[in-house]
Amino acid sequence: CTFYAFSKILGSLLTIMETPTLLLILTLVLIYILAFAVRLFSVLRFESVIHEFDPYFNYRTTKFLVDNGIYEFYNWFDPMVWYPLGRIVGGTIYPGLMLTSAATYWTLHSLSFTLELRNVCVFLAAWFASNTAVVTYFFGKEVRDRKTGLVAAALIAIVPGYISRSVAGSYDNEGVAIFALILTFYYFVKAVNTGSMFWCFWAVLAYYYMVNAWGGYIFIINLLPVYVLTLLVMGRYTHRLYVAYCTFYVLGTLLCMQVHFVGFQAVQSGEHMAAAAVFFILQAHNAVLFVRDHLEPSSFKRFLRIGLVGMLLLAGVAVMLGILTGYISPWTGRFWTLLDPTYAKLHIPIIASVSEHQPTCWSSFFFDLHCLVFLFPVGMFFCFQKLTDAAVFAVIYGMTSVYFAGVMVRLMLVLAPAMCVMAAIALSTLLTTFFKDLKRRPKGAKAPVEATPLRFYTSAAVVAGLVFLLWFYVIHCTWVTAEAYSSPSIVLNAHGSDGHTILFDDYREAYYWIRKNTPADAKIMSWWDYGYQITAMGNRTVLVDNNTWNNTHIATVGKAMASDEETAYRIMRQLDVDYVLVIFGGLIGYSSDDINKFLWMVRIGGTLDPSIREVDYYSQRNEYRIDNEASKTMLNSMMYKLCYYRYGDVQLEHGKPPGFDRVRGAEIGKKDVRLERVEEAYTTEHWMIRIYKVKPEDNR
Amino acid sequence: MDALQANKIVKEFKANYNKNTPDRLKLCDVFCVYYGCLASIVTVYCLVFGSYPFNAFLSAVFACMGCFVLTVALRMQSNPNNAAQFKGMKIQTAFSHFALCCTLLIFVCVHFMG
Repeated sequence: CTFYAFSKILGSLLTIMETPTLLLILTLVLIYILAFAVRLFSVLRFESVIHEFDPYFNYRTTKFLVDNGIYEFYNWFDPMVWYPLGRIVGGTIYPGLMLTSAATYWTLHSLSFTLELRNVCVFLAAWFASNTAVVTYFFGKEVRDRKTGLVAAALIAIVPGYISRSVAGSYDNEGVAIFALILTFYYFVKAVNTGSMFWCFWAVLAYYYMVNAWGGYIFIINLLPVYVLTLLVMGRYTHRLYVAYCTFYVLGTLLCMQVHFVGFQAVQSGEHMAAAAVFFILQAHNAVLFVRDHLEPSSFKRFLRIGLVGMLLLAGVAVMLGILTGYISPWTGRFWTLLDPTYAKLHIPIIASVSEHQPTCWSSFFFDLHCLVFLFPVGMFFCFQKLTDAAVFAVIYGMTSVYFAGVMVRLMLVLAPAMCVMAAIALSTLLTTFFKDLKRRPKGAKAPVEATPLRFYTSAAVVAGLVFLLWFYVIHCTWVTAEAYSSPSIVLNAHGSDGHTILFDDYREAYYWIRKNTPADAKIMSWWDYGYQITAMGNRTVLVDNNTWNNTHIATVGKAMASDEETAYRIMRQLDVDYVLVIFGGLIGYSSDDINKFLWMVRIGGTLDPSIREVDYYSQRNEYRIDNEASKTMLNSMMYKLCYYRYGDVQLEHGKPPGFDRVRGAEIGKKDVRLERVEEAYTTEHWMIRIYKVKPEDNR
Repeated sequence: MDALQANKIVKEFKANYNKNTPDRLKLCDVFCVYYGCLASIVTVYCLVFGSYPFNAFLSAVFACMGCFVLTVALRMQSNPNNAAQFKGMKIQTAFSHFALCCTLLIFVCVHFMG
């Protein structure tokens, strides 16, 4: 009975919509399931656990939200991080991800599906990737036609550039943000195509979701003005554009300010000014058109001369006032690095040190996008062949995201949907064109002329080639997902000499040890990469974490790690540090350890204390070494001592001397490391995490 | 550019406007002028008396700007000259969309006022 009712409802819904065929719906359902399934490798191989560093903070805040409610969450002051400063979490995060997870959790629980919060968080990104695929179908449909949409959905379901940040277990903002991004673009393009405020309404709501979800909303609020300006310059201004953009700007900015983290920045910061400027340009343009409708051409010319000059002067004065009085704050460092990739290296070492912020090498483009890379220009060509406002949007989105993806690896994620849509345009147009010649003449009088054998075989060859290409695309994407993007970096694995898998669960071992064996108010000093994980899994106070909002505090920790033991001890006592934690990969050959990150600590510490110079830590021959050629400063630094304490006695294999560092491939320089101010508290099974207790002051 | 020619242009504009614009659109225009005046008054007040509850000021200005933009959009959609651009949108549909967006605008503004 319910099934009959359901099918009736579905039938009536289908007649209200554009009657998509059963085949279309079936394909979309399969794409939905595929997008979810391909992201499950790490969950199937290991367990349902959250990967990486940043997501642990998101998980902790979600847990807080679910346990304490929305009011407490928005007003949360967290004393356990950034000791002794604390952090106003409610006002310094983008709460979209946490709110989405909490809503999902509460909905499921109200339906008696008592899914644990951890599992909701682990699978949320994968689920939203499926949703993104469906929304991309609608976006592609809006840009060109239904066929393009379907191909775009299929492409984005498995494109590695998107999978890398939305695999099951990666619980980061981008998982929901890309969904919100494409949703906003879909509704906006629909608003421009129809000129209806209804679609603008939904675009604004989707944009509000995007602002809640990710700092990348800046991309939307700057892309749309660029798009409007381009259409104006191309002479494609229509009233639909005015309705769509102006409604979006006013309502969007208003809603944008409701998010605490953004607040008044939406009208004060330089990053939002482009949208405001284009808004006023549109008003002026429309006003001039309005006046032109009601004047003789000669009088209009006269009006234009005075009116235009006056308006430009006024605008110029307003902008100058804004900038000079400092009311409009200048662009922040993060924004400058997007325009000038070399800016961060010179001015802000912390931004430069994050591996995700490095410029992209060309091989990453192919690795993350495979055949989409060369289908992109083909898609652009077809866009220009049949130019509509929506096609212009796709082109602009594509070009700007290509530029930004080249600046920062992390932004490859924003490029992936653009590439998928463009490649989909190319593929669907090519396939449609060449399939025409493959049709045999049906048995009837009014049949079109059948293709000559040459045309038939050429078309067959092209179609076969494209199918082959897509076949390789699928193989590549699956391989990349399985090999490169499905490792939960919290648990590492290697293969033994006889092929069996060895698991390195040292991270969780160390955090669990901290949780169980240290006093509840203990403060842990470590490099900022591990801050989120220590608070989430170890449940202890940390000095610095991945939020990196206070560079001076991080520089103090860097200075402590880079100085000799006495100086470091003084800094640690000043900051009430009880335990120090370092990551050491020398025993197992894990190359993302603290010794490899040490130079960044020196550089960042050097911004605080100029006596710490990077050149002091290099050997005589200006190389970064840890063996007997290492410089004295290096051998005396706290980081060296903490990493290599007692390591001089460890003999790995018979061929190598004791104290051989597998990562650096060298025997360490100073083997009898003596520690006076700290004592070893815990070293994990494979020596990956080393925890030291800071000894209290000597009795006088 | 002397005042006489400016006066002539303004008179011509007024005459053409009165002749060519149906009443419905004139109503929208009156509202737009009203919103503009309101926004100016609020801004002048803010400049004179300080912007302490800045969110209240922003809320007022955005409410005025929003209503202005929505009314202009409604005017565009109900202008029979623009029917081709809006692909035959009926005036009832336009007004219902206008009401929807206004509801959202007022809701958020009241929330933002604090």
